[in-house]
Amino acid sequence: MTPVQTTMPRSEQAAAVPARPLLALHGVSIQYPDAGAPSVSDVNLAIAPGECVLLLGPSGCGKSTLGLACAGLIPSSVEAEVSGQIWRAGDLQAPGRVAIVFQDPETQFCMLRVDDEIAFGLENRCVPREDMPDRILASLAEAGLAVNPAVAHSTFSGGMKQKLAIAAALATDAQLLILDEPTANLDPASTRQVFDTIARLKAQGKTLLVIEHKFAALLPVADRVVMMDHTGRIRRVGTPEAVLEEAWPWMVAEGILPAWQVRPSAGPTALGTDSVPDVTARAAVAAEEVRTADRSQPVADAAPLVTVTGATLAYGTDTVWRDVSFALPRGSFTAIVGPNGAGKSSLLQALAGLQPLAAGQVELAGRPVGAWKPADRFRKLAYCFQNPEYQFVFERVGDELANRVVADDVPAEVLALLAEFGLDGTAQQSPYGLSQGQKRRLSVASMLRVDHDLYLLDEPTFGQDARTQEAIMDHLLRLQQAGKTLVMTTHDMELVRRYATHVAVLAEGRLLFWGHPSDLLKQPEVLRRAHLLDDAAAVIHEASASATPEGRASVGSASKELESASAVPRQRSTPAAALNPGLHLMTSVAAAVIAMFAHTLASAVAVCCLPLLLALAVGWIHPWRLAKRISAFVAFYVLYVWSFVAFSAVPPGAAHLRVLWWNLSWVGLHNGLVLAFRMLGVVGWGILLVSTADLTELLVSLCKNFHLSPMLSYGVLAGTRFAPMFRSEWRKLHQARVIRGREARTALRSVTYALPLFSQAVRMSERVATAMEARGFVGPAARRPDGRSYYRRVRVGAWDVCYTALAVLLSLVAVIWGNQVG
Amino acid sequence: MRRAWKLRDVVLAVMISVVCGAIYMGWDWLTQPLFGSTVSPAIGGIVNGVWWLASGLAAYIIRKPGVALLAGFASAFFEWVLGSPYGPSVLMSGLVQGGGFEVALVILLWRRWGAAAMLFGGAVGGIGNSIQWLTQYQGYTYTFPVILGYIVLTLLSGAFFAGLLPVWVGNALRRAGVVRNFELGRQVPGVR
Repeated sequence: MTPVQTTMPRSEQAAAVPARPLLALHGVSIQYPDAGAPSVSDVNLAIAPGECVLLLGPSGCGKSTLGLACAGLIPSSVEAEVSGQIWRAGDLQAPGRVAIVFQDPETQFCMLRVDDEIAFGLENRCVPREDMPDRILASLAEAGLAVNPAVAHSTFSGGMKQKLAIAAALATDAQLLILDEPTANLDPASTRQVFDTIARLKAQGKTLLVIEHKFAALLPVADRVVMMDHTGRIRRVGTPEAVLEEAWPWMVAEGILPAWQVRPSAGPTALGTDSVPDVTARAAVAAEEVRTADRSQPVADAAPLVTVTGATLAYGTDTVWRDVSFALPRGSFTAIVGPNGAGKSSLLQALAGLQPLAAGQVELAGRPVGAWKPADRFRKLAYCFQNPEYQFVFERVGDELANRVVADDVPAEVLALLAEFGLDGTAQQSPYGLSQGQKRRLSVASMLRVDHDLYLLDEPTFGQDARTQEAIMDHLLRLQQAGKTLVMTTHDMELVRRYATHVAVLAEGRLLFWGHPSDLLKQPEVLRRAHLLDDAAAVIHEASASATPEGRASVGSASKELESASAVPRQRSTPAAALNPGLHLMTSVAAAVIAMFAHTLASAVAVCCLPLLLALAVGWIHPWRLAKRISAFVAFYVLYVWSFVAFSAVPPGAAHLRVLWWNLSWVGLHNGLVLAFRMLGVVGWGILLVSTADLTELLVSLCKNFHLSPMLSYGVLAGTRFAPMFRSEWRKLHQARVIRGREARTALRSVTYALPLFSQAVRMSERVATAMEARGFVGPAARRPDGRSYYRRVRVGAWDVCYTALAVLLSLVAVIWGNQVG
Repeated sequence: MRRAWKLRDVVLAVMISVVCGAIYMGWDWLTQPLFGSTVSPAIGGIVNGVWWLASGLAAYIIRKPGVALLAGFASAFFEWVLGSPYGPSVLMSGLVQGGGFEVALVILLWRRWGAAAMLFGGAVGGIGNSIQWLTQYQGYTYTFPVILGYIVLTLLSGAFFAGLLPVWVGNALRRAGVVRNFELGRQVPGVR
């Protein structure tokens, strides 16, 4: 807790309207094109330099919209009608001076590596190349993320990604930093990391506007709280103490806060200690919680419904968790908890038999889960995905919930379920058009519609406000009381404490704890290791234990690594890797075009050998590796040869043999071999390029050296990040269809697969584009190759020209000579 | 109609291309053994339209000049990087298929976007594909019936997979309210 407490210079006049604001909104209203009412109405707000403003309000009240407007992204990047006046101080008007950190850590990046990511904002502002390394390191240190800047950030935890987003914002000298629910996707420890970073930024004098649901820990840092109501109006502005004092009952009534939450008592010191409840105190509360204790006793002796024995999950050589064993008693309510990326969802999928195990087994009602017929298995158990869209099969909410096309004739029980889950009036809407919270409720509701023995739910309460969270949990509790067995994954320890009878802690690649929640709460060491503690001590401990150099002390070594990795031109491992990738690509395409003119076997063999020899000579690809890579392609082209053997036109008099509908001929064999060899040549050029070039450098070089519009090259790069993600999306989509079983097949239309996949693509595109524009990728920086500076040093040198000339010349010689030889 | 590209148009075209590039890559390995080399190379034409699906879908949603070409090329790029057996040749396929689609839209002055226009675009994409097949893939060495059958089936396949299918998917996305910020979503709601 110490970092937060030491950084609280709270002034008495904090609540007053600042005399010289950095940003001022006068009567601002914002309405989206198709919306019936404005999202934000008549907002007056001024933010002073160095101030930290906390923006609170119920879900969907326009907080994010207001944040986007303050960042200047409405109406430019996001279209909406804005009335009233938004005034920005002079030095706030340049692009990138207002930075925004978004809720989803995945969709706000557009590059692959940490240094490229931070440099992107600098490039947009034409910061000279030589200043970039220092500013990258300085911003990483400021954000408290001291990793090697030359690593890819895809493997980072959610908390690290959010810190990286903050670092990227700081690098561009942002005067105002807007954080839009930066911790929504994070586990408690990562959340704490981000909060500590916010506290540090406040201490450094940064101006902050923070939108956050889990705001208790931020109260000591905030100068003012702005409370919005569900109509998008400001209800109250003032010091945290004053606003909470007055608005607490209203917040509970609005469903912003759960009824059981204790109000932090007034006064900064008390607030500070209250925001991080003591572990032992929590355990004491848990022990007093009669409901929990009572409910867990009878089920402990019941025969297990699911038994997991020695289960190990591995992707290739990468073990996610190993040797997990536990038994789920009938009628139990189990929570699976653990840090981001611990494999909680995978364990849940393994329970449903959706995730193949590397070792061990899962038994459902005494039979291995794989031995069940899918149809029977998914009658026995129900599964609710983290992304609700996966399971939508129908195009209307009413149909989805009834699991058949009901059109306008919505059955009464469906209407009742809709009402219970707060979805009244949506029966005729498309499931994809609902808000994220509504989608989650619909997927839970449709899973609960049919009776099952076992219910598996992946973060069922994610993104719900207090009231709907309570509704979902109460429904689950009723199921459990009716003797059903439930398992859910969650980050919310409060839910675990209040509802779970058993808890499985998945961390450090194994099952760290299995047992009763109140026993878990007595083991702070386990909680800390599983990122379930949200206090500062845990964060600091994790930082020192982290494998990557963390903390300011090691920035020096990180700096050296940055220099060796990218700041100076990298010492290339092979001559081919040193080539300018853009020119290399064009050379390969040119060679492929030349190869088209090989018409004899000799020339085809020659154009095939050329790139393979180059791959050995300048790519230094190991011959055995090259042979292995090309073998799959060879098999493919054997089929091509066959199709020519069997179907070629045979000139009169040439030998041929009719078999069935095939007309086998030597002419055809010749044609086929010519095609196969020259295509293998083209494939060879591709292998050489793909195995030696860096994708980022390829696209940067196309932009910088070959004047491709930055919007296109950086847009392609941003999209590339999502290729692996779509692969896993596809897999989960397929699993969801398996679960729906026969029902999904009757609704088998291309749109049932295409809709979830492409609606995801559309949403991510919008977010990525907005995030890129928020980082200054607008105007000349986005439209003209000379409108930006470049972090990557890509240039066309003598070796590139020589290589291109050589490759083209040799290709020409191979084709011309070969065609003459015959 | 606003014709200048916005960043989100580019990113969406690329995202569609990422998804389609992966589909193409699988399709590459699957179709030749299943269709081309057994019954008749002409039959292979039936499946061709899938390879310029990205052009049709991106153009139908975004409705701006050049989108079909961009999506055709970008999806081919991802197809190649993900491991297509045709290697960098698919870049040329992307150009001729997406380019063919774009030519059809040019003929319609980028003003018509109904099902008929999309069918036309998909078919013209097939002309681009057929030209590449005849030359680079030695289609001309086959017997005449095979060549004729291939071209006809390719145009039909293009009209269906790259023309009609994107219309269905696009309209479903519009009904779902997902594409509100794109040109398709701004059109006056038509028939369901």
